[in-house]
Amino acid sequence: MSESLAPQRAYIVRGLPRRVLPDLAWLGGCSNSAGWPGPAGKRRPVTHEPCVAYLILGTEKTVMFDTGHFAHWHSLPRQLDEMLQGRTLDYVFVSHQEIPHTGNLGRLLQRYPQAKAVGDVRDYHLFHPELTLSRLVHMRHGEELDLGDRRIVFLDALWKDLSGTMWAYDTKLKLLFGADAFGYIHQDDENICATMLHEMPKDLAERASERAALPFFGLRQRSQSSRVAAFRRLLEKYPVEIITSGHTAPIMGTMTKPIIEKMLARLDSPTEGPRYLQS
Amino acid sequence: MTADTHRRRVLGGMSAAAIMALLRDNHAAAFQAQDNFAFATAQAVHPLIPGRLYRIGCAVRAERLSWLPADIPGLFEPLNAYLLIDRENAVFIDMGAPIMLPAIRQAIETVVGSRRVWVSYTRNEADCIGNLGWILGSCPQATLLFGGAGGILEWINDPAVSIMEVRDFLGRVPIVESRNGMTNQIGDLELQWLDAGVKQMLLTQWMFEPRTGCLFTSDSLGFRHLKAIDDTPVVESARGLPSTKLVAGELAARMNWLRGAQYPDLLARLETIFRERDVQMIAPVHGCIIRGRATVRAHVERLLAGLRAASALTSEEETHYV
Repeated sequence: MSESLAPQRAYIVRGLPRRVLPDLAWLGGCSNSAGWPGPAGKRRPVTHEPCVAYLILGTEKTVMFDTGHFAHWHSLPRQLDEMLQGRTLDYVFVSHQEIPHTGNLGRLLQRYPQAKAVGDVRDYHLFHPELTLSRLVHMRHGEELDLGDRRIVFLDALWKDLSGTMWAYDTKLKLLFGADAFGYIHQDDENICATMLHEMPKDLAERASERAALPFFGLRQRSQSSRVAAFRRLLEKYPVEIITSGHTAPIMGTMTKPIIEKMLARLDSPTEGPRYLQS
Repeated sequence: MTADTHRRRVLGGMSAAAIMALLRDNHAAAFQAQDNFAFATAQAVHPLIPGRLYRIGCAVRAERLSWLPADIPGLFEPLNAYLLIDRENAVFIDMGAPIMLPAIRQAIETVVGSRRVWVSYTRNEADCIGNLGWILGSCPQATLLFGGAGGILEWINDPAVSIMEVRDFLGRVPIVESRNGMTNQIGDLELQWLDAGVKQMLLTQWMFEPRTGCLFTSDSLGFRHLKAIDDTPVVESARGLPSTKLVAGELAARMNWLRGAQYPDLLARLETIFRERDVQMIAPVHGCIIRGRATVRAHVERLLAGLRAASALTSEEETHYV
């Protein structure tokens, strides 16, 4: 095997964790498609997709949104220790069953023996037969979790990768965690891992968010207009100031509204199909 | 509640044969003895074509499963992986969820023997690759057949260490491509890979093995369930075929994009897949295996009818935001 085709790690950590706000931490890293097995033994081009999780620190309880990618576990315990600062993890919101999103559930529930998984927890007993069923707490659309100074509202996802996908909303931060929605793929050479769009020059932010990561099969088989309209109604009921997801740096400040509109336009446009995977 | 009283409560109402089957199964007994753990039974290696093709799997309650529109109390769901063998090779087609590890271990011990091991999967989800780490750690010199995306060898851990430690398989396992349109000739076995006829995940593959006539359909065509845990997970007639409405509901529960969508191209391609191949057996990762040309045809017709009906269903998500 030539040096250039030696196995290369596909899951990297740069610049994380970050404490975005006193009560919001950003964890995880990126995937690098050059580390995937390429066609005909060739190296794939380098593109990065954020593979991240978030920690909400309420006054009484803490919750992690997704578990971080299974392949980032080499770094995640340290990241959690740094951000929890002696507190424990009380809940793990599992947005959906994919290994990049919730593959560390067993590890987290072992590390935090009092923690419980919350969300649409169907299937997880098949993946974690070592867990008692009482640690898998099923939440339905509209149900809430009290963290002390805020509530986490569980919402049925309008765009789902897998059935069973839920979104989560923090009533204090007005933060939406969108599972697989709002993700984007960026280039490595711009060195923007762990950088939020509003921290970049405007033209770089525009480029970095250009290539959406939309892993939703079936978008082309159905008009998305009614879902876009439903999403606008969601925003009326749950005003959003910060967007996060398993594949998104926090989108906040002046970037929130334009990015929402950019994503909705992409979904709703019959002429512009979504570009949904890394090279 | 003690383990014994819990076991009596769980066994209440089962047939004598079912209880005997349960008691024969050490793994099920182990799970039953521990209060409040997931239930799995009938961990088994089932010869579909002796000396060539084996079903590896277990049965779980048809409850708490995302691919069903609702729990079906009293029914059971087979979870499946498959093993194709010739004299020198053993090829895993999917490796199942971790809850069926006892059956996987049984297959390694009783069928694989000294054969060279190959592992493949139809999707990179935990119900297909949940035991990949165990197999790679247990079978020396295994080769990965790879037709998807992702740095999959970093998604799994070596069973030689605790799950809290990191020891993946990057650089430790040879990789052979198995992308759509490719054929892997492995000894007497011929693995023909194709894009799934119907799917939820973008990178879902089906595989056809012409010598067995078996089409491995991942999360499709899994709409036959078990009425009793000791029933065989193989359907060999069209008797008891669920209604088009039921099939449509199950299809839309898994393939959540079908409701309100139009997909004539997909239906046409699906028909072509079956027209161009002599499919004698359908092997999904959940639900019963469907065996026999006429039985396959009847179930494919019901799949097509169910897909057409699913298009007319209402999108549930949007009703939450009126």
